[in-house]
Amino acid sequence: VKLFLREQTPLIVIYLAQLMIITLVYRLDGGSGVNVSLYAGLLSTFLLLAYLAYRYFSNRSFYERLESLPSSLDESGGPAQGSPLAESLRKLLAQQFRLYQNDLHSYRHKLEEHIHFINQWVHAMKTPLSVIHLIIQDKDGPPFTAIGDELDRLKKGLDTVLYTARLDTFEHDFYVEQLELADIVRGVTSEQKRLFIRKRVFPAIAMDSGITITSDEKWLTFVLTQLITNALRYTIEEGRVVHFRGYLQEKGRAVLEVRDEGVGIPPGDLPRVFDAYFTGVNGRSFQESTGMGLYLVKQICSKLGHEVEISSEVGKGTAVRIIF
Amino acid sequence: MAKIKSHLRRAYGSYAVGANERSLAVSGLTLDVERLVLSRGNAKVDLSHTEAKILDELMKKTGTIVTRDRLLEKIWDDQAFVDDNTLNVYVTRVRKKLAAMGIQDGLQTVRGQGYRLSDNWGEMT
Repeated sequence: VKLFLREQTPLIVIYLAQLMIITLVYRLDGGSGVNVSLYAGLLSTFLLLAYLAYRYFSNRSFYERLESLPSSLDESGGPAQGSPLAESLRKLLAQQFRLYQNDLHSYRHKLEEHIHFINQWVHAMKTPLSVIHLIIQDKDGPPFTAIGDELDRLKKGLDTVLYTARLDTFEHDFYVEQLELADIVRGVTSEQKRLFIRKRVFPAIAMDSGITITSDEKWLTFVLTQLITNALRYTIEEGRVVHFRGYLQEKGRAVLEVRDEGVGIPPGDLPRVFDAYFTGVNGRSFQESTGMGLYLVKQICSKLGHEVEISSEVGKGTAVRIIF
Repeated sequence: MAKIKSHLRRAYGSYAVGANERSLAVSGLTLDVERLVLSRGNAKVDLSHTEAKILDELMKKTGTIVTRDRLLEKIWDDQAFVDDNTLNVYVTRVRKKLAAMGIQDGLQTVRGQGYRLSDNWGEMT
């Protein structure tokens, strides 16, 4: 109603001015009395009001639509309109919407193709890695150890690519089941044993017995691998330990804590470690920080419905807790 | 991927040795990996799983250096907690069992690199 009145204000003003002028002209001409001009004024005002009322009712839905902000995309451009102006606007909106949607569709399609391509590419790259791994499996000595290390790095890099790409299509790609927390941790530490041994940093696993969690094994394994990689990367001294502790909170939620005895994170960096591409002070002084590790950890955990906490003290180490 | 691995394993890996019942012999010293028994002549001694793994690796590469890293990798899965000391302890135990077979100094430490098994004990006389 407000919008309608505002819209029609100039018309009402013009009308009143016109009424005054015409009445004045006739009065100065001396042709008619007060009653007559009052009567004429009343009659024409009534006509105007009738006109405005008609306009208002025929365009009411149009005005209502203009005043309410859209909360979601609407294909049709709204309900059909009575007046020609409103109807053509509706058509314009609908057409514009269709064009946008076509554009959006083609981009979405491109993105899906891209993810598909990345998936295939990563798998294609993994085959030669596996073959190299098998070839050097039974060999010992510095060159083969070095090749093995680099292989592990390549594998990790590929996994990061794969999981980053898949994160967007997470909904199609996860399977939640009951898992034994201790088994998962043992499996992942065992998978990363080369890295542990190479760094001369060893895991200490302390699990309260019988903790089961509800999660996706593949994604959780990736998360733990990230945490282990971080813990080892930022532990410089040999002979340190990475502690894995699993326990139940008072509220009955299972917690897995991964605590290293590494360099720690400066307090200034701590709030931002879960941001994508954030590397911080440590990232700049160590190699191979992509800033993606903890970001992916956070994203994956939130999709799985787990919470992630981090606490750290420079020189003492960092602890990451996953609350299931 | 798993399929390729299993094929390769069948061709080159541990299954291929399965024909001779997973036992290793070096200069009269025999390691039975299945039964966890080390024997030389009439002398026999039982081994733990971890000790057997260490000996298995050393005997396969008799005369060459096996790095500590590699041995650690081998024994990793049997242990709740592996570190450098774990390996030291097991190497000591293996040495004792070799001594029980009458083999002294067969398992040598190569400083900064690893261990080496030299078959300098000769055949049983």
